[in-house]
Amino acid sequence: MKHLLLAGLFLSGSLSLFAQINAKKLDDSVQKARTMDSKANFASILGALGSFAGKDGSNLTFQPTFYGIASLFNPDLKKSGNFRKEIFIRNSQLTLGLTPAATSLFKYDSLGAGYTYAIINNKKLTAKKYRELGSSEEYKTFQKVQDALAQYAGAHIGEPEAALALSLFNKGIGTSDLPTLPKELRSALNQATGAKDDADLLTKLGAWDTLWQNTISALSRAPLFTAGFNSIYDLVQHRWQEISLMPVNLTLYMRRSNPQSSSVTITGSYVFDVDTANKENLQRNLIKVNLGYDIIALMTKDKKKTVFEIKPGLMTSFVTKGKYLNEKTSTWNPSLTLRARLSDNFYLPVTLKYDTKDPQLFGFLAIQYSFN
Amino acid sequence: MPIITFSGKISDAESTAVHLSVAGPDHFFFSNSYEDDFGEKLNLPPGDYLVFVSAFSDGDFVFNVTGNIRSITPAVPDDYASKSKQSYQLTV
Repeated sequence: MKHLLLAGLFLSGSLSLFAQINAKKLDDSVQKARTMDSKANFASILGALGSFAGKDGSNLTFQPTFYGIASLFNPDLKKSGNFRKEIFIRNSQLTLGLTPAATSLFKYDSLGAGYTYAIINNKKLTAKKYRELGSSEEYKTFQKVQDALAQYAGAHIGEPEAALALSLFNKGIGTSDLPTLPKELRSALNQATGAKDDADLLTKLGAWDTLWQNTISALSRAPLFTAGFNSIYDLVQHRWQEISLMPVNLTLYMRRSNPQSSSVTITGSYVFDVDTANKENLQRNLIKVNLGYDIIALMTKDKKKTVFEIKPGLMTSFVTKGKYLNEKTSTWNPSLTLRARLSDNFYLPVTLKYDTKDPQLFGFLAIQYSFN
Repeated sequence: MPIITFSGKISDAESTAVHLSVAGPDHFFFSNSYEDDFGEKLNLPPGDYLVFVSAFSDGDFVFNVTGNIRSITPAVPDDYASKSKQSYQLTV
């Protein structure tokens, strides 16, 4: 309960800080469309404060990105020319964590620090992709339609026809608009699109929007491959407690064109662990491999955001040094993570783990906030 | 004739797909497309104009009109955070 309170205070303080630093909301369709599982693996590159998690209910974690921090001090980095060049800082993420002590709200047992580099992180459109989209037939037709509406409106300034053209441009032309279109405007639209009939006209009018939405949707389901390390420093015994090398963290989507596509996540790490509960401070080395399959159980009606995700997984661990007495070299424990979205960036993961060695079920509740 | 500048600034994106169309009195018409920040200067005789802007980007886009203008509705600078198209009524 105390940790939950601390997490709440920490979160509200961070939110207020964030509001002061960056009051303007960045609307990033790609970020919104990403699964909660994907955000937990690597934050949005734009977040100065990254994502925040109360992992296992016992520690507080920030995942700020280099780009987010650097652009606070040098806003010029956000300009497209600089944005294109800053690939390294766009793909670098820090992990900073604190584990509060059980005895006091103001004491901490350990500090965590890590670094992650996204080797593959195609969550932003490249300049090349923009050029491809810009030269597509769909976009050329869209431009012609925009010009046709503007010319029609320009020829009728101050008249209802101009207001109609303005309204049609802002909201888009739908099936119900076709019968009421003035002849002159209908003719201009037919000429701009090269449409043969009503159905053809509607298809061509909506073709660019469809292409753009599909591009954004596919982007949010691009593969993610990161590598990095994490470390935990014991503040009580003043020594490193754990250092983990994580050469593999890969997320792949089954069907990128499907917004409800499931994904597979594979993570592998080599852990140098010191068991400080043991009198001799037993040094243990372990290889850990986690495999997860994230299923989108529920989406918003517009299919743009996930609402509920279920992720069954398998956690395996191989002890390569410092085995306990009668301990098996390898363990295989199943897990189940349920993630519910409470708001655009605020979600609640619950992880259930089953210990096969000493058969019992553990439940871990966390809160997670992603600063886009 | 007043020089009116139509400008667009993008951030947090490698590029953008912006199309600007300006229509006005005496069959005045101008249109152009942009892949980056732009500042288009047009000599516009006094009168009423209609401006159509579409901006598709996975970053932020802000559109602005400056110069000797009498009014513009909706107000500028205009942030396209939650939209990709907007028309304006401009009086020079």
